[in-house]
Amino acid sequence: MTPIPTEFEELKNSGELPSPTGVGMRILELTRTDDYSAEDMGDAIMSDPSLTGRILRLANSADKAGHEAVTTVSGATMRLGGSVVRDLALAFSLISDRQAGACRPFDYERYWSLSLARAVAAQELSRHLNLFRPEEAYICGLLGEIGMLALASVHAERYGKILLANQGQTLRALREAEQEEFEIDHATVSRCMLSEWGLPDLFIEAVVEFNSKRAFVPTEEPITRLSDLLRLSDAIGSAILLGETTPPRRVTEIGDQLEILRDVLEFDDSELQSFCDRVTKEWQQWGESLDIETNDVRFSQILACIAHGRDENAAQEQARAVEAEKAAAPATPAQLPKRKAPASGSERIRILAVDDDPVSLRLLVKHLRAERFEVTMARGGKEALKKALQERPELMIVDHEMPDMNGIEVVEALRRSSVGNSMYILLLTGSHTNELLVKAFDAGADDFVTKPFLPSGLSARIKAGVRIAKLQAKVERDRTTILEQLADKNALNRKLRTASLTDPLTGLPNRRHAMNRVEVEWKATERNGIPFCVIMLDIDKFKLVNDNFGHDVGDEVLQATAQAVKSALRGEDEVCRLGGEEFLVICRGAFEKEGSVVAERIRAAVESNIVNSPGFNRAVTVSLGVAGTHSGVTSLMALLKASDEAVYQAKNEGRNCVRAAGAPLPSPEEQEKYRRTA
Amino acid sequence: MQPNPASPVSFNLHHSAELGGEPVIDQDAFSILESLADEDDPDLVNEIVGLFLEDSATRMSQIQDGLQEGGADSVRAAAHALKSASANVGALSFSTMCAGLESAAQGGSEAELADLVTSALKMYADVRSALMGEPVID
Repeated sequence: MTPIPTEFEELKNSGELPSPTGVGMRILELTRTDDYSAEDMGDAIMSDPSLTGRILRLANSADKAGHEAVTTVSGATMRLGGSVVRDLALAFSLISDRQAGACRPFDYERYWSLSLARAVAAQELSRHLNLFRPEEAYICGLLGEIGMLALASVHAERYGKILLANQGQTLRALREAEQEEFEIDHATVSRCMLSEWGLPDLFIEAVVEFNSKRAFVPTEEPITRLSDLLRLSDAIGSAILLGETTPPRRVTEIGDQLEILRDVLEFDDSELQSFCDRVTKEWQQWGESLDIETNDVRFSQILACIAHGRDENAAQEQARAVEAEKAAAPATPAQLPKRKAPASGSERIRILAVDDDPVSLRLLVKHLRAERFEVTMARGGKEALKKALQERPELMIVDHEMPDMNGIEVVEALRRSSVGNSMYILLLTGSHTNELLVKAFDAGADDFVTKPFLPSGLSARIKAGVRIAKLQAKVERDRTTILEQLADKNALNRKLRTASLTDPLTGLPNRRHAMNRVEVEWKATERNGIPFCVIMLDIDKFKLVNDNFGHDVGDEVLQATAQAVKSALRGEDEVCRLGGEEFLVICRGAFEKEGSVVAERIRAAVESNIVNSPGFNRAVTVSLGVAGTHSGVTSLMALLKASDEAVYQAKNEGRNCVRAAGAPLPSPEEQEKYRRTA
Repeated sequence: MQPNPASPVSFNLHHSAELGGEPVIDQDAFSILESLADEDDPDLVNEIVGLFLEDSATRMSQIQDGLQEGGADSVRAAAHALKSASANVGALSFSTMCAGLESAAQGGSEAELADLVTSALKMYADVRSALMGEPVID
C-alpha cells in the first residue's frame, strides 16, 4: 500500500476532515481490531434507528426476489456481510456530518445529490452487468469524490478560490491547481481517507482511478473495472443533475458518455431511458431517506435536452433550468453565490440590442453607445434569448420581426424565467397595429418603439426604461445585501452560542451545555426507554496542586485531565466541565453496568497520564461516581444526586476509585424494550 | 444641412418617371446618418452603407426566389426588413416601394405582386448605383 503523505497528515491535524460521527465512529473503532463480534457491531448500529433503517433498506432493495425481507441488523449482516454493513454505516454517517459548510463556492447540496445519484447508478449497473457486488458499487459511488469535500472542509476559503478560478476547466486543471496550492490533490486525499477508514484496496484503487480521469473510454472488452463502472455511473448522475450551471462543453461530454453507456449495455434508446428512469426513481427514494436533495426529472426530457441542446439550444435548456430552480425552492443564503447580482459596483446600465437587420442593429447600437450604455448585440431571437439569460442585461431592445423567433416570442420566453422577469424590455416594431401592441403588452413587453425611430424619441423611451431598470437593480441589490447580512448574523449567532456553551480553559462543553444535554437524554429515556448514564468525576486533592504549584500548573492539570478523560470515551460519550475540578460524562445508550466500565477506563487513563509541567511531572487521580437510569430513578435531579453521592463515597473510601449508585441490573424486558426501539 | 464632403453617395440621381421620379437617396434623411459619425465611429457611414449593400442583395434574391416558388411569406419578410433598412440609408422611395410589396405579399394577387417585384428590382438597381456613386473615397 502506498504510504500516507505528510500533506495528508496536516489536513488530518486540522480536525476539519469529514469523518464518521457517532455510530459511524464507534463502528470504525470497533472494527479496527480484528476480533470484534458481529453482535458488537449490530448493537452499535441499532443504537441509531435511522441508520438501522437505511441498512435494512439496502439489504432489501430491488432484485432480491425469492428472499424473505430482512428485518434485523443481524439479518442484514448475514445477507450483506459484515464488512459491507460496516462500510455502509461509515458512509451514511458522513452524510449527516457534512450537509453544508463554510466553502461558499463548493455546492455541498449538489455534491451529495450527485454522489447519491452516482451511488444508485453504480448499484444498478453492477446488478445489470453482474459485476462486483451492488452494495460495494453503491459505497464507492457515494464516496467517489470525498477528497473534494475534504479540501472544501479544511481549506474553505483557499479551495473556494481555486474552484472559482477553475470553473468550466478540466478535472486535470483542477487537480494541478490543488497540487500547487496544497501540495496534494483530491485524488490523493480520497485515497488516504478511504485507506484510513480501512476500506478495501479494490475500492481505493477504483476511486483513485476515477478521480484521475472522469471519462470512460470504450474498449472492445466488456467492462471489468470498478473504476469504469464508476465513470459510467457518474455520467448518469451528471445527466440527472444537468442544469443551469452545466457548461455547454460538459453537456456534450455527458451526451457522449451516455451514448457509450448505451452501447456497453447493448441497449436501444428506449431501454437506456427506462434504465436511467429506474436509477432516477431509486435516487429520489434514497434522497428522501438520507435527507439529500433530489429533483423530479424524467430521463426522456434529459435525453432530449442533450440531443437537441448539445450546443445551440443551450439557451432554452437554461430557461427551463432557471424555471425549475424558481419552482424548486425559495432562494436561501447558501444558494446566493450562484446567482450573479446585477453589476453592483458600477452604475453602468447594460443593454442587449436585438435585430436581424444588420443596418438597423448597427444604428441602434450606435445610438446606445453614444448614450454611454454598455451594449451587446444579437442577430436573432434564439441568440437573444441565450444572451439575455447568460449576461442578464438590465434592458433589452428587441425587434419584433425576426425569422427564427419573433420579438413577442422572445419576451414571452424571458418572462417565464426568473432572470427575464426583472428585465426592462422595449419592443421595436415596423408597424404598430393595435392588435400587435395588445399582443406585445400581453406577452410582457414594457414599452415599444416604432421603426424607423428618431434618436431623440428612442432616447426618451430608454431613459424611462433605465430609470425603472435602476430601481429594479437597487431592489435586487438590497435583497442580496439583506440576505447576506442575515447569513452573517446567523453565523455570528452560531458562534456566540458555541462560545456560551464552551469552557474556554479546556475547550470542553460547559455546565450549561451539560445540563441541556442531560435533559435531552432524560426525555429520550422517558419516551423511548433508551438508557443513559452520568459519571460525575472530581480530581483528587486538586486544591493542593493549586496551593503548592500555583494556578498555572493547576490549569495545565485541568487541561491534561480533560484530554485523558476524552481519550477513554466511546464514540458517542461526551465529557463536560461542570466547574472547578469537577467533570460530568454522559453515556448515551448505556446501562449503569456499562457506564461503570467506562468510568473505570477513565480512572485508569487519568492515573497513567503524566502531566508534563516543570516541577510537577506526575499524574493526578480522580474519584468517580456512576448513576444510570432505571425504573427506581424518578427524576433527572435524583439521577444527578445519586452520581454525586457515589463520588462522595469514592472519596471516602480512599479516592482514585469508581463507585456506582447501585442500580439493579437491567431486566430482560428493559433490555428488550431498548432493543426494540433501536 | 450640408452633405458630408467625404460621402461617396450621388444625391442627384433620380428614379425614372414611371417609378415616381423622386431622388433615389433623400439627402436630408441621409444626413441624419452622417451626423451620427463622430470620433468613436469616424467610418460609420461607409460601414452602414456597406452593411446595407450586402444585406439587401441577399434579401432581393430572397424576394425573387420567393416569387418564383410561390413563397409569399418569404417575400413579405424580406420586404419588411428592406423597408426599414433602406429608410435608414435615405432610400425613401425604395422604402415606400418595399412597404407596398410587403402588403401585396400579404393579400394582393400574384400578378400584382409580380409587377411590384419587377419595379422593386429596377428601383433597387438605382439605389445600389446611387449608394456606390463615385469611387469610394478613403
